[in-house]
Order: sequence, then structure tokens, then C-alpha cells
Amino acid sequence: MAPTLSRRRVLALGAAAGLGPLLGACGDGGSSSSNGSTGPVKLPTYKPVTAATPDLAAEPAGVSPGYLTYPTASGAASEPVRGEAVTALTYTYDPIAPALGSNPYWQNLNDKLGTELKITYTASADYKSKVATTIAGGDLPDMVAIQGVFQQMPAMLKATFTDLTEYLSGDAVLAYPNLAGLPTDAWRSAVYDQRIWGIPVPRARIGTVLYTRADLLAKAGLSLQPTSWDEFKQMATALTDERAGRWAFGQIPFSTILEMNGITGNWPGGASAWQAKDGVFTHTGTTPQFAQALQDTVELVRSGVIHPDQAGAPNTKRNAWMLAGTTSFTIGAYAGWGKFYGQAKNVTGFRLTGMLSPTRDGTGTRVRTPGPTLSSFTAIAKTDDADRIKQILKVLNWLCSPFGSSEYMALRYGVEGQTFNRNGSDPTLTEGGRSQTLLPVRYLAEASPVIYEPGNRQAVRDQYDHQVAGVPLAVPDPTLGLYSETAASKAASAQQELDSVLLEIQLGNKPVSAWQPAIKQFMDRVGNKIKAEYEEQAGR
Amino acid sequence: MGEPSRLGIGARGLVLGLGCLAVVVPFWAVLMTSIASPEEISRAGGFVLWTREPTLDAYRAVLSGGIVTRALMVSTGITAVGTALSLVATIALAYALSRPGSLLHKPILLMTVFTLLFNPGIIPMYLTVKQLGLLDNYLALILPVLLNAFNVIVMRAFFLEIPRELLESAFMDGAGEIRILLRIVLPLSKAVVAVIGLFYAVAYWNAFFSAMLYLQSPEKWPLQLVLRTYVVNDTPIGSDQLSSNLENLPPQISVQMAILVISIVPILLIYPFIQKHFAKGLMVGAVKG
Repeated sequence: MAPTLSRRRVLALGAAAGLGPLLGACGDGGSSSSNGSTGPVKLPTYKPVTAATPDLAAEPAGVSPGYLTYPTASGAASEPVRGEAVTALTYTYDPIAPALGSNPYWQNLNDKLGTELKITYTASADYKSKVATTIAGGDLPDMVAIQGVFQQMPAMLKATFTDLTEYLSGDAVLAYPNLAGLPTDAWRSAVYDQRIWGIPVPRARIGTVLYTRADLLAKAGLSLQPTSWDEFKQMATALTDERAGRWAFGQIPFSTILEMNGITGNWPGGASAWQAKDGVFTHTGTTPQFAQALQDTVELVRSGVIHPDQAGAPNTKRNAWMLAGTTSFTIGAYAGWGKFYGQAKNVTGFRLTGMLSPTRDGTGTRVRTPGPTLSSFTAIAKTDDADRIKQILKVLNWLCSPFGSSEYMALRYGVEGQTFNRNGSDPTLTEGGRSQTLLPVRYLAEASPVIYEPGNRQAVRDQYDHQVAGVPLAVPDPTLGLYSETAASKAASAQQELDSVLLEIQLGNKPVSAWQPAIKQFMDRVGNKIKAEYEEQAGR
Repeated sequence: MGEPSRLGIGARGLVLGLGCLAVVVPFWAVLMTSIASPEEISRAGGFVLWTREPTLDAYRAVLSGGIVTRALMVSTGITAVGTALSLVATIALAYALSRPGSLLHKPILLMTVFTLLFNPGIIPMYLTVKQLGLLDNYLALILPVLLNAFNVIVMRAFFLEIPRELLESAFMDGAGEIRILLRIVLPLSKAVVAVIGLFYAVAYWNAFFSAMLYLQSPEKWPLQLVLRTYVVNDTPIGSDQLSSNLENLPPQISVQMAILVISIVPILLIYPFIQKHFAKGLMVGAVKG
């Protein structure tokens, strides 16, 4: 059956193939042109749902609740969702799970859910190509996880997926109680052109963390939270002993130094690099504080507190350094916190905390770069069948069951006695369970993250303390919920050039003065256009 | 230029020895790291050259669940069938193009060379494969890449070197083209067939991207794609996912090294058997007359 090349299909095809500029010519400024919507969309009502009272309460707002042990009482299971099998396409960061035939965990899940889940998935590194070809080919599964930003995103979404606004906006979401428990900021990232396009997979509000070997700092008699730039430098020097083969850092802690100067941002990549005040957007790279942060970075690098092999070392190597004690810090995403404990089993006295960036002189408010609000959002393939849409939403609602519920047990652990056993109250996966639960259901939909480390109460407290201290300091990203076509299509190469200049300056190969012409070039090429697009969208 | 002196032999031996070490040591390090214990890896901060506490945990982690073994069989099957089909097609095309006066000789040669110029890109390829109904079919990994224009040209060049007189005398004795190909040309071309066969085999063995695009279910995946999911965990800082569902996984480095060893072993097993053909292949055309 030959795919008909309707205009809609060409649009989706071109968007997926990255022919953005070509299509940009036919529908010039398509992203900011109105689609006839009546003003800003009403986001789904937020109604938190818990199945078990946390030991550490989810306060202040945005902090994940902490559980020291796994709650014993599981609430009554919600109704299974009856209906035809549901197909899905998603990504994974893990190795693949056994097929349905040899996967009792998956079989049990289908059983409890009431609907058969057919999941196709690829490694996240290849996922963008997979989605592009699937959309171009036209044969979409019922649910597709949309990760990252595509070119001509609003047009692509409109052509390929169902607009879910009428099912989820405002109080309509209360028909799906677990979906109503997803954080509002996560929903914001699933909104394009003032319509809701999918269910977000939420993430904790903490962004990248300066992971700290608290045991090593304690041994050296250092405070776990320096209060000024000078104290920070002294701490780094105290942890460095070149002759003994120890350094403080395994990479250049640039984002930490930026926060110290009052700026948020994740470099390289330039994520969260925009500030807004009174509707005027500024790129943090153009501010004088950024130049100051560069100076500070060069000074830190020159003082020799960073591992000499840091340039180009892969993440696994840096983690290995920190686990071995060769370095005392490593910078990583918050979602990886729990993973370290498994790898540090053999390190005696291992204790991991997160360090916040102090202010430069110890006065004033500290800032934190917030993390992405979601990992991806799951969109439903375009269909007019309202009953089918409702069934799929009920399936996603089931997948978002909260921590402590029996559905959550089936989702994360499987079948007691077969894929997991109880160690006191904490469930532990069996060897078979470990490989079977790799099925990437959690990248389709899951409940808001909680803090829980089986058998490690100190780890839960450390993570909780870090969140309580850090989340209120997060500076909200003003571009959340806004879409810039230039940023999605044309900014990549300009950003790469900017990143390479940044790296050269940090390594000392170029003077700090090389930053000004580089950022000016970036702004002239794409930055000012992006700024204009954001300001127009924000002003609406 | 008589016998080389003792010093000359010694110097040559030294240089060759260092060269061998430079090749062998990394392999050795990979093998050792894959069986090293987690403490040793942490202590060494990376690669291990000698392990005192060998453990097969990394291999167990990778091989559990039978996924890798199944993928190994899939890869072997695709490589064997693919190489055989590719060789048949390439030999046929190269031979036809090497015989002057064959039907549509010039246009077909031009078309073959033309494909060397550019690649259609993944979306047109995907749509073509989809329209042929090959999605989720192992043939999608073989048919689109059956003929490699470069290999065809290399083989054609070799066939052109075969003395015309041989073929003409056979023709005069009443042999048809097929018989000439099978009885005369191929036995003389063992070296080039082995070399081209190896090119194809390696390409099929390493292919993962097309498998990722065309095969829907992970249980059909070939080895490289499965192993990739273990190795490609190096997400950059700022990307939001460093977490893995696997608790108590052996340190990443030893798992990655175990994967390397598993993916090299099949090739290492086969190579000794076909090695002699390459030695001959290298010498072909070296001495004239």
C-alpha cells in the first residue's frame, strides 16, 4: 500500500527529515503564527495523589517525598483497563529486556493492567532517527514517546498526533486521578501552540548535582557546604595532592562557578541559558557575570585542582575516579544519584552528598539551575476514535500509579517470589527480575519521582536534604513552554562553535577576552532571532 | 646486500617486537579488565593489566537472560546468508561487466558507478524498504545492501586482468559463459573472492543502524545493536538520565570490556581458516610474467 503523499504527510516527512529551512520557506514564521487558539491553554489541574504517607514530607513545593523503608500496606488496586492491545514506541537507557514469551514480569503486567502492552524501543542514542523514520513511514503505534525538540515541532505534532487538550485541560484531567498528580511544570513542557500534546514523564526539580564524597571531605576535616568562593577554592586545594594522585575535580565545574556568580545554565549546550525580566529576554552569555565566571574558571584550572586527564574523559571514567577516591567530586544528573550506591558497594565508608554553589562573597541568595521538568512526553497517534483515546489515557493513568500502590509494585518489581523477594519490608529484585524489569515502561509514563533507596536510610536523608536546600533556590527557566523555531533548527552549529570557544578558554588555550566576539557572533547569527521569538511568545 | 648483520637482525626484531606489543597490549588490557574484580578496577582507576582476583561477573551480567546468545545467533545467520547472497550477486555482476559486449554493458556500469556518488539518506531508504514490505523482516538487513558498488568495481578490475586468451580458448571449445565463469574464472579468483567476502562479512556483522530502523522487536536484534545498549550509556552531562534500572551491576568498564570480548570472539574464531586466502590475495598482481 503506497503511502499517499498528502500535504500533511509531506509536512511531517520534511519536519522529520530535518528539511526545516525548506519548509520554513513555504510556511514562513510558522511557529509563531497563530493557529486560531483562544489564548493560553489551561493546564491540567494539579491534585497530588499518594498511596503511602512519606517519612520525609514533600515540602517545600517541588521536593520529592522521601521513604526510608518500602511501605508495607499497598492500597487496593485500581480497575484494570479492558480493551484492545495498545502499541507503543519509546526509548531506553538500559539494556534490552527479554521478549514477552520469556518475561513473566511483562506477562504479569499485562494481566494486572488488563490490556496487552506491545512496546517497541531502541537505545536513546538512536531514538531520534527511529521516531523520524516511523513518522515518515506513516505507520505509527498508538503511543509515541517524544523526546527533545524537533524542527517545525508545532506543525509536526498537529499533523501526526492527537490534540489532547479537551481530555486533559483543567478539571477534565480529574477523570484520570494519577495524571492529575503529575507536576504542573511538567505539563508545561508538553504544550505547543497552546495545546496539550502528551503525558509528561516527570523528573525531579534538581538539575545537575555536584556529587560529593562526603566521607573524604569529612576525613580532611572540610565542611560539606563552603560559603564563599574563597572557601571553595581552599577546599579544592586541600583535597588535591598531585604526588599522591588525588585531585578535587574530575571535570571543570563550570556550572557550579556560574551559579556562584548568580547565573544559571548548563554548558556545553547552552541549556537554560536565557533569563527574562519584564518580558525582555537576555542570554546569560552576554552578561558581565558570565565573563567573571570565565575568569574564575581559568583561575581554578590554573590552580591544578582538576584531574589532568579530564578533557575528553567519558562519564563512566569520571564516575570511576570518584568511586576510587582519585577525585572527590563528580558532576552528574540528579537521576543518577541512586546508581552510585550500587557501584560503591565495595568502597568502605562511602557517603554521597550534593553540594550547592555558594555565593561569591557569602552574602545574598544562592541560585540553582533547575533540571528539565520531564524526560519526554508520550503522545497519542492521530485518531478520531474518542473511546480509543480514553482507553489509552486510562492505560497511561494506570502506569502513573503512585509509589506504594500495588500497581507500582507490579510495575517496578513484578511478581513476589518470582521476580522479587522481600528483604524485611524492602523488595529486592532477583537476577531474573533485574533483567525482566528493564522493559522501558517507565519511559512511557510514571508517577512523580520519590526518594527511596532500599536498605540505605542515610542515602534517602542525604538526597532529601539536598532537595530541601536546593529546590527553593531554583531559578525557573523562562523558556519553559515556549518554542523557538530558530533554536530547534538553526542554532545547533552556532551553539557548537560557541561551545568550542568556551572549552578553549577554560583550558587556557584562548584568553578570556575571546569570549566577547564569540558570543556576539552567536547573537548576530541566531541569538537575536531566538530572543525575538521567545519575547513574542511570552508577550502573547 | 648480503646477510644482515647481527645488529641489523636485533634492531629489526626490536622494532617488530614493539609493534606487536602495541597491538597486543590493548587486547590484553581489554581481556583482563573484563575479568577483573570491581575493587581492582577502582584501585586502578580504569584499565587493569593483571588481575589477581578474576571474576566472571561481567560476563554473567551480560549473558544472563539469553538475549545476547540469541542475538549472537541472529548475527551469525545474517552474516552467513548475507555474505553468500552478496558474493553471488557481486560475482555475477562483476563478471558480466567485465565481458565486453554484454547487454546494456555501458548503462549498467554507469549506474553502478553513479551510486558511489551519494547516499539517499535514511528516510527515502526507510520508505523504500517499507513499500517493499520488508519491515520487521531479516531480509531488510540484507537486500538493501546486497551489492556494494565499490566491491563490484574491484572484482570487475580483477576479472579484467584474467588473460582473454584463456576465456576465448574455452569459448572456442564450446563452453558457455556460465561454464567459463564457474570452471575457469572463479578458481583463478579465489583470493579476490575471499577478500571481497570478508568486506561483506564484516559489514554485515557490524551493521546495527539498519537493524535499529527496520526491526521492530528487540528479540530480532543482531548482536551489535544489543551490545550497543550496554555500551552507549555515556550520556553527556546536562542530559537528564544517568540512572539505570540495574542495581548492583558490575562496574561499567568491566561490562563494556566483556562486551568487546564477546563481539570479537566469533571473528577471531573464523579468521585462521580463511587467512591463507588473504596472504595470496595480497600478492596477486605483485609479480608479472
